[in-house]
Amino acid sequence: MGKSSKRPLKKQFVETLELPRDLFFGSVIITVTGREEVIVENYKGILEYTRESIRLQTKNCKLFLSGKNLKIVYYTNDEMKITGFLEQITYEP
Amino acid sequence: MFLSIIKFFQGFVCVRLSGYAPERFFNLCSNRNILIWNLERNGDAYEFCISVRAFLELRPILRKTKTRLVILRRFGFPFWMHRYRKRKIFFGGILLFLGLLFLMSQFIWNIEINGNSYITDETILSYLEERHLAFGTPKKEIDSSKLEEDLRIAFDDVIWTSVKINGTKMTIDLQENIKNSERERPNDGKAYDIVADKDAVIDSIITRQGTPKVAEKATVKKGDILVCGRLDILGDGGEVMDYQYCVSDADIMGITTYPYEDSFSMTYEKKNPTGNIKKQYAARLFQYYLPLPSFQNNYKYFDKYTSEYQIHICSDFYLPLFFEVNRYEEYVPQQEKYKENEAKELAGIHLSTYLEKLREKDIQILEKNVMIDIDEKNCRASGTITVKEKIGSYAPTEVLEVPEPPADEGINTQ
Repeated sequence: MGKSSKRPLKKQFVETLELPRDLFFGSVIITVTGREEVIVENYKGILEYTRESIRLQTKNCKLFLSGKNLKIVYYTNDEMKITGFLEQITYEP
Repeated sequence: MFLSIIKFFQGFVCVRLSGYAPERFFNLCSNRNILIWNLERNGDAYEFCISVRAFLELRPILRKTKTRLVILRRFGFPFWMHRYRKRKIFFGGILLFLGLLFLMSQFIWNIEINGNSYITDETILSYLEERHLAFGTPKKEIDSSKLEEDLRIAFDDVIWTSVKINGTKMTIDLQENIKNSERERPNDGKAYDIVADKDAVIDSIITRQGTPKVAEKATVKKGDILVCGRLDILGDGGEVMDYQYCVSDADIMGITTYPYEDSFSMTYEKKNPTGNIKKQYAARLFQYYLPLPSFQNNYKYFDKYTSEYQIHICSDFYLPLFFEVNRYEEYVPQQEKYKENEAKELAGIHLSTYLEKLREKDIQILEKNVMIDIDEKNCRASGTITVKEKIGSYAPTEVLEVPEPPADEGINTQ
């Protein structure tokens, strides 16, 4: 009971005050430039990485990117940049 | 760009990672704020770049994730230093270069003079040479404000100077007094007359102080007193009772004549360029010339043009190293004779430059009476130029004895 009523309250609070969602919910931010470059912020870790696919863990879901020749240009604690030829971006539960 | 320079100086390695849980390895790295870049999957292994400092912290992570690292390539300054550590002369050369550059930067290697039109660059440079402040002087020996003052004292016409030292270049900016014909009024407490400094006819005379001795249209000879610095104090009877002395002050314009004489030979040597050009390159360090040896000048008649380039770093850091290009242009001399109209034209040009010089000195030209005479050998121009100009120069006033008062003392006793 407590848990289910608490969540909408927080959501309501953030929406009313127009606070940034990425800070309060830890939502992932994906910036895609064309088909060649993706910048992912607010991710938790790398689950899988090959030349054809990258699977990332975020707070609420998993993120699956597939393409060709994928390369991680850099990655730090809160941001990573991927280049290559991108084919799809999928959210997995 | 900036980031890659930092990376280069800190040094980084490209490594290949393989083993049981590479993904966990990356997550641990990001948790510990270890930066990894250019991560790429290569078959079963991963290849990435990592800074040297971070690389040394990896051991516990490797043990935890049961992975292995192989160094593929090393980049950056620390590795480069290590690789060439035995090249002592090379490093010595770098140090010597820096040392020389530092040493050279302590001297003046270029002097720029701006704003002079009457005084030539050479005059100022030779003055600096006299003071031992020219080319090659240590910078710390130059006291800019003192040099500015000395320049103003040494050259009367200079009314403002500024000496700046930027890098190894000294810039002297100066301002010249354009009206230098103005005579200076003496100010030593004595009385002065104004005397004619040349024969003239007085055009106008406006006296502010002193007794005018000449009127308009009067003809004066050199040395005649124009305005006397002695004022006569007259008694009732018209007799001189006393004298007062002052420094005369007047504007006197006189009409004077200048003789004009010019002659040049009717024959001259004309240079017909053959189109043959040779170039010689040379380098100069201080006064030591290093000409290229393979040069031979076999022209009999030639014009030589020398262009000199001073080597400088940026715009202000001049070095005492010059490159010279000497260009030799061959010609065939030919005796030519001026035609009559050509000679007249040339004489006219000479005359007008002479008149222009007079005008620059604030002299008004009224009339010119010049005859051009051409014979077989020479072209002669002679005549007179009548001008209106300011005349008069200062001369001390003769001090006279005050005459004995007349017998009748009725007026004086009060």
